Amino acid sequence: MVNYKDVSVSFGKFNVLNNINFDVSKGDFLHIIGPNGSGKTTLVKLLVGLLKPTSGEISIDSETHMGYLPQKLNSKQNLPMTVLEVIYSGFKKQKLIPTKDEIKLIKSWLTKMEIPKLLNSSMLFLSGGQQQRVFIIRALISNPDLLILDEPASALDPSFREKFYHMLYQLRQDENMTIIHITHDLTDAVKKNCLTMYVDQTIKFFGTYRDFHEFEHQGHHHV
Amino acid sequence: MFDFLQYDFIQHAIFIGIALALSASLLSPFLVLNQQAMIADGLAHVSFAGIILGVLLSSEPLLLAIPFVMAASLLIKYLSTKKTINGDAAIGLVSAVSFAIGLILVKKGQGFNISIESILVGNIFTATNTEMILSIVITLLIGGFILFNYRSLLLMTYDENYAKFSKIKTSMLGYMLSGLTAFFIVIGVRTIGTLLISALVIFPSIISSQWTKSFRDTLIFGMISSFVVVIAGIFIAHPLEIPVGSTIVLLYAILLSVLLVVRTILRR
Repeated sequence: MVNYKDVSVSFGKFNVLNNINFDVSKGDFLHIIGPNGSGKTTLVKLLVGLLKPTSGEISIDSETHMGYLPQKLNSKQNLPMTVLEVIYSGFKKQKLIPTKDEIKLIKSWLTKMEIPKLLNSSMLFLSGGQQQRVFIIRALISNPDLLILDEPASALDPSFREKFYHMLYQLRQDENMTIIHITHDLTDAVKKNCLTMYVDQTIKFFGTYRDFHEFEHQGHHHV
Repeated sequence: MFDFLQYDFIQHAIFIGIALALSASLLSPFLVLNQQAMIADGLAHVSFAGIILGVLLSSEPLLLAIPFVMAASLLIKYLSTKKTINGDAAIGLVSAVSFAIGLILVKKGQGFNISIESILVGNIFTATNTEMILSIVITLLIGGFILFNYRSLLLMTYDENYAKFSKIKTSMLGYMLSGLTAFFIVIGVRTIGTLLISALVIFPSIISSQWTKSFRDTLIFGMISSFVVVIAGIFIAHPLEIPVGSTIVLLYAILLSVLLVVRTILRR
């Protein structure tokens, strides 16, 4: 579904990513981990089209519909926007006025994410965790084939974090959704049958979580 | 009391006032809430040169001034995409250069009876038929542009990266928005004046965003408040023989102050 071939990225003299090669197939759940500044976010920005590689190629199956949760939100903090307005921007086709069915779908997601009453609330008055849930819904609302999450759990409280990862696992099982997940903490993440990539400028490890566990124990790094 | 309404020039003024109020308030949230408020001010300075150039070279100054200012707006937009020039610096550069050209043109074209004062403060009561037609054209253009691109413009204003991810042509929409703003500003400079026209763009969304929760309401209440303020401005300014532009700006300022005070009291 996704293929990185000899991909490198540099900003001026600074090499962020070097010679990245890997594949992701339909239905894979890939965790990307690595220290701060290791190029994790750059790696997925290439995928969603916000950056171009300095060299190499990235190919994505045509017709792949992506959902994306950015790490750093560039959204304006002083802009009046309701939860509805933000989530609606995640729909594939948007109308001037959302239809009743579309609102119903948004409401069902708000309930699933345990923020049922926030539909017409202003984003300005939500907590960081509530805002994060809204952005997660925006990434999921159009039922993407490929879901890209850049540190989704950082603002979520621990009890909800576990439920959230369970929900992702369920989506992968039920919808065969392909998920690429960046994190610096694999504690709560679902690890069963998942691929893991350890990146630090280059790919230091790519394989199953079970193998990664061994790689970790050999003292290559600890998460 | 409303006897003066029978005069053509008053009817024209009200017509143009409504058109400008609507266009300005439609543009307002997409510029002001996207940290581009000063583009209106910069383009007003460019219009100064554009209109003088138009007066010197044509019997219909606006037909020359509009493309001139639109070109400048695209240049500002282009310069601000350069990594080494900030958006506000790009506005400052282009507007200062244009203003300098304008002043030289005024000096060299003294035989042409150009009144700097009339360009600086504008006069809505001496508007020509062409200006009236153009003000309707720009209102329709801006209205259509925003109606058809509402969701894209909204997302672009809120989160440009996410808009790019969503395959929205942010750069093309940005250029179109600047071009339409330029068109609006030229007409506004003739009627409201170089010095005050940017207020028409800045006030509506600042006033409505004090108490609205959604972007949609910010847009709608901005339109309502600017409609009321501009009409009131014309009705108050005419009998008192004070400049319409200044009256409108002061009414906006009073409205904003009242809202800020009310909000502070309510939040206690």
